[in-house]
Amino acid sequence: MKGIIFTLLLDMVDDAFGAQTTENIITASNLPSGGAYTSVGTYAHSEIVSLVTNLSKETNVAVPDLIRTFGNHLLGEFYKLHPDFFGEIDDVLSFLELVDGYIHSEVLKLYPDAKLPKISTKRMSDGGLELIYQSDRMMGDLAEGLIAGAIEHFGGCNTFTREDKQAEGVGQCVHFKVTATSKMAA
Amino acid sequence: MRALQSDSYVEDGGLTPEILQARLTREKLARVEAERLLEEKSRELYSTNQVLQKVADAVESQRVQLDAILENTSTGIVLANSELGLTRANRKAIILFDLGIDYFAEDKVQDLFDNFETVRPIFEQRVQDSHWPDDTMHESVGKRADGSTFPLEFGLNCIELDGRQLSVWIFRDISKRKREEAKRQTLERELSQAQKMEALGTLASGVAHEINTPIQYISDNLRFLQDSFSEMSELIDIVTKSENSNGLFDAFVSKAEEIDLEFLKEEAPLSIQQSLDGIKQVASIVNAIKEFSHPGSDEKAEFDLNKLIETTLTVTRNQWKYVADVKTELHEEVPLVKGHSSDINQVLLNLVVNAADAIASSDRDEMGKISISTKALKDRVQIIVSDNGSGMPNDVRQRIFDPFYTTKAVGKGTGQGLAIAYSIIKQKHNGSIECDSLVGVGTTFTIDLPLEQSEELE
Repeated sequence: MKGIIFTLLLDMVDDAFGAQTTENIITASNLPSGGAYTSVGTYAHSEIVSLVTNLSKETNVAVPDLIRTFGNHLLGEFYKLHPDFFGEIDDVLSFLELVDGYIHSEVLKLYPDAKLPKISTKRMSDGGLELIYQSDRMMGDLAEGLIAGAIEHFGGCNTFTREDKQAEGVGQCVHFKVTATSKMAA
Repeated sequence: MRALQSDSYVEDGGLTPEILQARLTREKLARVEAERLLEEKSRELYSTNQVLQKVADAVESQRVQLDAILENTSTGIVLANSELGLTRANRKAIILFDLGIDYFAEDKVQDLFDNFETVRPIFEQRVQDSHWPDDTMHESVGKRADGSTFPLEFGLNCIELDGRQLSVWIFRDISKRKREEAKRQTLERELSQAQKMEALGTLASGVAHEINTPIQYISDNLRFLQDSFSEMSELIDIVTKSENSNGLFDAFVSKAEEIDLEFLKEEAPLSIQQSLDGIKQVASIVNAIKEFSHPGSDEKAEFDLNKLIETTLTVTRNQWKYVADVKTELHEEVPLVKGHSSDINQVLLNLVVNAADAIASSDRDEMGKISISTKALKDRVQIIVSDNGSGMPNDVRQRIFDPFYTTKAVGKGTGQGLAIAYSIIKQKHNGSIECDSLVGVGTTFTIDLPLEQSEELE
């Protein structure tokens, strides 16, 4: 997993729970990297699992909630770091449609070894969008948080549902259905 | 994130010196890691650049090689866009069509042909079948920038390059080849005519004999008629010069008996008829010779095959009449054949003379037999010439159509007869000629001539 995810997570923990909590979960996680992350590095996926698990213990907040919140936070941070990914898009559905075809392919240009989840999208007859997340890293909650963050970012009043499906082989498969509701009135 | 935020955590979680120390340590480690990664990436980048440079060099080298091949090939190559505008032409094409250096701007493939409309169907077909590369070459007439024309052959394939439909045209100037072909055809014609004259020379003494026999008896008959007329004159004188009728009858009868008037009355008409027949025979032999020796027309024309065979037998009569009886079975329903009658005449003459020679060399006591038959088949006519002469072993039979191959004694044959016969039947008339032979039994030649003759075979 790319180091940027770790640095953003630790920043978020700093902001939300204070520096001591961050130090505590790093110490408790006994990480191979020692928690010394650089955003361009690549680290074991298990490290983020340990960090989140220990954060949950430390804060008494459920792991899925923590991951969802992190996903939501991540979207905003991505926008700050890579505004070009968002281009001239002004609605969440169009943005979500670009994740696999554009954003992921751009990530792979920089990091050919990156292991990205498989995201597929399909417009529904009612104008909404079905997004299917598939990954053996079981980060469906992170995807959910990202979708929620994207809706917030684009200021829409779209809603979405989540349905966990049986994955083919090892991993997780989650179907999200995002409504086509237009932007909220200013 | 607001949902997670806890005031107590933030207030209690300030940056203590210990925390700062821990973070400083981690930051240092992270920086070392980042520098390592940067170095690693730089090395990767350098390696990648090296590989890319090698690839670029290889591509450039290949491009230079391909350019050199393209520019130095003896074939004109033109690349055209979907509107048939020239996008590239190699040096040979520029020279071939006298294009000039600014050819891209104006010239179209249409300008390279004297009449592109004859080429358009081929082009349209190739566009349709672009997924099947085709190496067929087509003949046409090219046109240079100054309007002069020249014979060319071209090949065409359509390709897709960077999403653009292009056509690749290959051109070859075939002026030299055409000149050589014309020269070869002239030589072949001359050779064929020479062979015919040679055959005629061989036949000359026989033909002279054939003519001499009737001439002999015509001469005898004329002498007889001359004497008869002289005697008849004496008889007439008796009547015309007598001054009175006394004793005229007795004198007339006496003279009539003396000159055998009854015999003259009976023999003179026969002698005249025989002479007329003889003259007719001489005329037919002379005609046959004339027909045979005629070089023939360049154009194919309809002719009567059966009549042609009769002519051949007349010309060759002296060659076979002492060694063989000729039996003909010439079916009347055989239609007119379109072709070069003079050439077919030559083929038949060669076969008949060869048949007579084969019979003569077979040491038989009795007369041999030569059979010639014609037959009308569905889309062709068939001629069969067979003899019961000496026949040929397999190794000879396999070579009989080879030029200059002969089994005859030196000075008796040039080995051109059957080679020319093969060329006439096969190449000039798109027919077939086959030979079956058995030593001691005889030889049969079977010729098939298609009724529909294409002028292109010329």
